Amino acid sequence: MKKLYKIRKVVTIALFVFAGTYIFVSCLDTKPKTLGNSKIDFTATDTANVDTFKFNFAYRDSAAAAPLNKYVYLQGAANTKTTMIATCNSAGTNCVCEFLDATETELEESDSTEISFDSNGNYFRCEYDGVLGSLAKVRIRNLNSTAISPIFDILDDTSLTAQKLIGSELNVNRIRTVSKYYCDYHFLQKIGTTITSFDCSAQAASGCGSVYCILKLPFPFYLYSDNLSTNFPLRIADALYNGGSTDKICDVQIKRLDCTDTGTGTTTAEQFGLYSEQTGIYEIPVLLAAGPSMPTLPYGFAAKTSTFLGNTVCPPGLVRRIFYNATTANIADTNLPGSLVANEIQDPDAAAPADLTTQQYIGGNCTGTSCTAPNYGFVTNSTSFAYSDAGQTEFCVIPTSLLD
Amino acid sequence: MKSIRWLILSTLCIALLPSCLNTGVKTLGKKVVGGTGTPTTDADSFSITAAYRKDVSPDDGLTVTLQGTIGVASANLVNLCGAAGASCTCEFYQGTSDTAPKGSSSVGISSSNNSYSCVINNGGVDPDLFTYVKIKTTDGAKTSGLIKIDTTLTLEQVLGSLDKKKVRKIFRYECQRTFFEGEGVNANAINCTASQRLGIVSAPYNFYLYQSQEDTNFPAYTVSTFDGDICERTDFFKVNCTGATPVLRYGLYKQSAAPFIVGVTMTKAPEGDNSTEIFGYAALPDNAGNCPLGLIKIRPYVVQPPSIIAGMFTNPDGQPSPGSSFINVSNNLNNTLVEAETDAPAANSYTVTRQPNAYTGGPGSGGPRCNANPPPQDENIGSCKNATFAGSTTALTASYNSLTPVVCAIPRDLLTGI
Repeated sequence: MKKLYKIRKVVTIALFVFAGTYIFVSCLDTKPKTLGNSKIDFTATDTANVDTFKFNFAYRDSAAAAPLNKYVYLQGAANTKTTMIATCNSAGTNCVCEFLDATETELEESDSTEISFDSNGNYFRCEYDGVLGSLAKVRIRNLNSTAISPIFDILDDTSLTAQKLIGSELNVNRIRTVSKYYCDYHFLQKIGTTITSFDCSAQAASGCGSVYCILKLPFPFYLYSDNLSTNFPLRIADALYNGGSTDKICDVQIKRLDCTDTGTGTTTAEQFGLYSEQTGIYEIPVLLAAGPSMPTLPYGFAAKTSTFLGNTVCPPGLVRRIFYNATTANIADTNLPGSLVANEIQDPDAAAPADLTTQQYIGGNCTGTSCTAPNYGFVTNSTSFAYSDAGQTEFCVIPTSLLD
Repeated sequence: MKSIRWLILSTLCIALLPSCLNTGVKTLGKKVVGGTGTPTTDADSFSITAAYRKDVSPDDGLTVTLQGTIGVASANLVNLCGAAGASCTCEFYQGTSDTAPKGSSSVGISSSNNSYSCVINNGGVDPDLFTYVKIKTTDGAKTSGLIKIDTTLTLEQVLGSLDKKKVRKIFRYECQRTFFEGEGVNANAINCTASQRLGIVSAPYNFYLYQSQEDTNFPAYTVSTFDGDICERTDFFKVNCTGATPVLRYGLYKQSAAPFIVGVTMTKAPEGDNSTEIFGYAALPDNAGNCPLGLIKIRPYVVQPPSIIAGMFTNPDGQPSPGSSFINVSNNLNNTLVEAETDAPAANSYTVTRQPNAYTGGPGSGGPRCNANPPPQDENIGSCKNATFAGSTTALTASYNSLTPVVCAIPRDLLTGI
């Protein structure tokens, strides 16, 4: 009996120690449990060669003219160019592309004449000789198969997304949408008017057929917006002559600038996307202005073009753009200065932008001490200034189809 | 005595051990009989709070999102699934006894939202039939139990451990501001000149209110009048919000708590002290631009109406309209909405109206102008008592531009009943 009590005592103490230990260890551990597993020590990499051979996506431009529609592109992840070259050499010929069908059965492999590496865009081009309808997937490896990419579905314009385009290293919230709007400059046209002076005197009709007219000149300006920042608040609605003091010139309100969509009769429209930080292939700053008299600033970064088969090309999924400029010249009896520069940005393959053309609001009158408003309901075209892309360099941007 | 000690010990063991074992975050999917009977099943490796499939046409939605516990590093799904999620996959079951689950055609992970998404490789099967999902590592070493797939979410699922009493419902209401036009009118002054054709310009402006189970900043603003008369008239409201019913828009969280960490500043009234403040906190989209499970994107929308100046319209007397005080040269007349992207304002939905002076010119019609009747005019300089106004017409319409930042809020359909 005594022995039994002794055993019970030992068991009691052991249970107390066990319970106490468990309570203090388990209950104080406030982190979520992976129940049934006493510790969280599981680690895994996503692919066997994630650090050496990482790609964002594979792409084929099915709408491209032959032979470009036969090329499959493999876009390297951000900041992997050194590794790509070390693995495949700068020409890409130390690697091969394996073309696969939807069941991941190999259709064919590229030979050394069918693969190339574009160092500007950090991507591989692989030419596929087979039946395009069967082609669904691709992977790339080096010749001795020590570096092998995962298998990628081959995307096209309908399946490529912004996230896939930039890859997981970059942040979709930092893709900047660049939008264009127009600001109408309103210049005054009246006999004796100069860049710095306008008076209320009664005059004979000026060159516009009225005592005075307003010359309207639509200038493009640009705004950016990403999920984290925007410069849209810099856009002004309009400005008046003598704004901030009398708000009037010769006792009448006249706009010096009219920058709203309602005022200009235009629509603020998305143009393209840039990446807000200089990283990866996005290395060319695109300098734009938010409005009249505002400085040109880098809105984001575009990618470089390359030349392939005699064509200027962009990294897969991006599109080409180029600046067109038009410069004004002074018009007599107006306050329109020379050397105002308007910037349009356009697809280099498209027609040049329509000329920058002044329009006249006619019918203004002055009595000597005051003037009356012109007829804003009627305009006529007058002087034009042509846009030109001379001396400009193409760059590559994210198409609007991939923007939110 | 020893029996009592035994009793206490037994009670302690029975009471404490199970409760200690259950303090961790549970996977929703417990060890449920069924599935493929995969090897080394460890049903508690994943800390999942909800599985959700957006049941949308035309394909019924094949993507299932599994929400991991937020705000606890050890519960991060990247620990098991890797930065790109490729170390995990999903299986989809048509019930708890399904022995032939379907796999995933693609997977993705959001480290900032701590969520994992799988696309059902349905093989032609109606996605509605898949009612359970299991997430597991690709080597099969770790696997969740079966987790029920929801096609609707509750506020509790969206909030996780957060307190729904701290959810602030955000309401919007509209007021009308009055401006004037006339020969002596400009942005900052109304001079009552002789024969002035005084007219009225009216523009809408929006304000917001919040309400939770703990606090509110209701009621809505009502009216205010101008300081002094307008050319001897006192029948104009400077701001008029009467009749404006606040309308529920979405929800924010009262205080900063993951994932609601971004303060949203809003304005409750056109005038008054402390009218602008942080109304609540929203979440941020992840690197792929997606909100945490169950939340919706909201963003500012700003309309920038142009100034109304002399000559923009023709008055009833056939003459060009006079200048106005609706001058927006410093963006002070912009209107801002903060709305869900699904509630984005329509094009040209902002309307400014005007009631021009009713003077039509010609004999006998001089009455509506200021100071012109009765003669002699000079005795009445400064008075618009007799001015009358034509009917209200649209002066201009304008469209809102979407601005940033984009943040994530609680959709209003989850806010009923709180």
